[in-house]
Amino acid sequence: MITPLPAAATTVSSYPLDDELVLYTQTDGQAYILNHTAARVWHLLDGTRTETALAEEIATTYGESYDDVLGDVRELLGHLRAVGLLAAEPDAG
Amino acid sequence: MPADRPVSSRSTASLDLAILELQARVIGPADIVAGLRELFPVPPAWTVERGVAIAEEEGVPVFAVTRRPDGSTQVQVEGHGGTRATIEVGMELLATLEWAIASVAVEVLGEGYLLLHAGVVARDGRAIIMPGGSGSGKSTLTAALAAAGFLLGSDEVAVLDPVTLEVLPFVRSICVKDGSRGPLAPAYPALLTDAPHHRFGGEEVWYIRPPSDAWLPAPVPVGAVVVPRYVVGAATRLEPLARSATLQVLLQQSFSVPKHGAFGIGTLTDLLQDVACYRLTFGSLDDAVQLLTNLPPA
Repeated sequence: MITPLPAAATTVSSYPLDDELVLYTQTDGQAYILNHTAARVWHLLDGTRTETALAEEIATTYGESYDDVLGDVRELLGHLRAVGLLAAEPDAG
Repeated sequence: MPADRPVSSRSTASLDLAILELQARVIGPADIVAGLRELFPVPPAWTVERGVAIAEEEGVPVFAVTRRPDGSTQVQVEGHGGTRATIEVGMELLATLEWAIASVAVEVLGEGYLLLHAGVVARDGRAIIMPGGSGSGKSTLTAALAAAGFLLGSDEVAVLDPVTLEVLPFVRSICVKDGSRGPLAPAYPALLTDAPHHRFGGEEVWYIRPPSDAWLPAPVPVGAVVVPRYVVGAATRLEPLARSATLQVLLQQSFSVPKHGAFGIGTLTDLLQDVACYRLTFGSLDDAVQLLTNLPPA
């Protein structure tokens, strides 16, 4: 089974704003705003964690259900991927 | 004589205009130039001085106005290496010409400044930026606040220096529509007696030309961003707005931020770190002015 290792695209600029995060990429010229939890996920997107590892870390940090968090993480990554904010993903094999 | 050939006027005049670094010259029939002179406020001297060096180096855009036999008018915008645009303005000349000059100013000033579609006023050395689209009530609110003692930055274009994060005035007459005349008449009685101008296919507008001492006397830092929304009959209320939501409004109402890319986004984010952000819903102009007059200092 191939497991993606999502990573933030290096072309994205990020700016903290209160407890949220503003992302900008020249690719589409749009700004995207992540809430506090999504910003936490963003900071973990260094290409070393699988989706499940990300979900485990977030669930532990916030004391939430792993299954619920996994769904949210997958949804977030889907959005980030769709708008080009993630780098091409290497595989864990 | 062909219909599209300009008619030479017996009397030609010119008018020099300045909006910060943009200096422009209008040349055309004397009556048109005189009418335009009545529309443009006299800018504070310190704002004009900023553009002198650039004008000497690069020349100034020229708006050449010609009138045809059928009464319609053509404006050629020339400068910076050739003809930039030709505008057919029909019978709605003055309002359209004023709009065209302001549009060129937005294009030119947007190269160096972050420009937002917003009203700007200031009090006690702090500016309030009021971003909003057409119909949000920002021009009416700006005019009412100016009448209540606030200094004026603009009813339409916020000019933000990306280095200092201060705002500068965009000196242009305040333009209001018919529905604003009644509420503003106590402060601006001429709104009830002046004839309307027409623009964009017949829309009636009225101009308020502020005196030169009504404008910001110097660049000022931003104290608050207030997002106005006029709603007929609504209770007037001022509510805190998340900075991220405020940023989204500023980006929606941006004239030039995309041109500056990541630098522009980063600068707006920096600006918002230290300012108070609100949403103002208002059905009463007097109540809105009262709320903003009592806004606590940043």
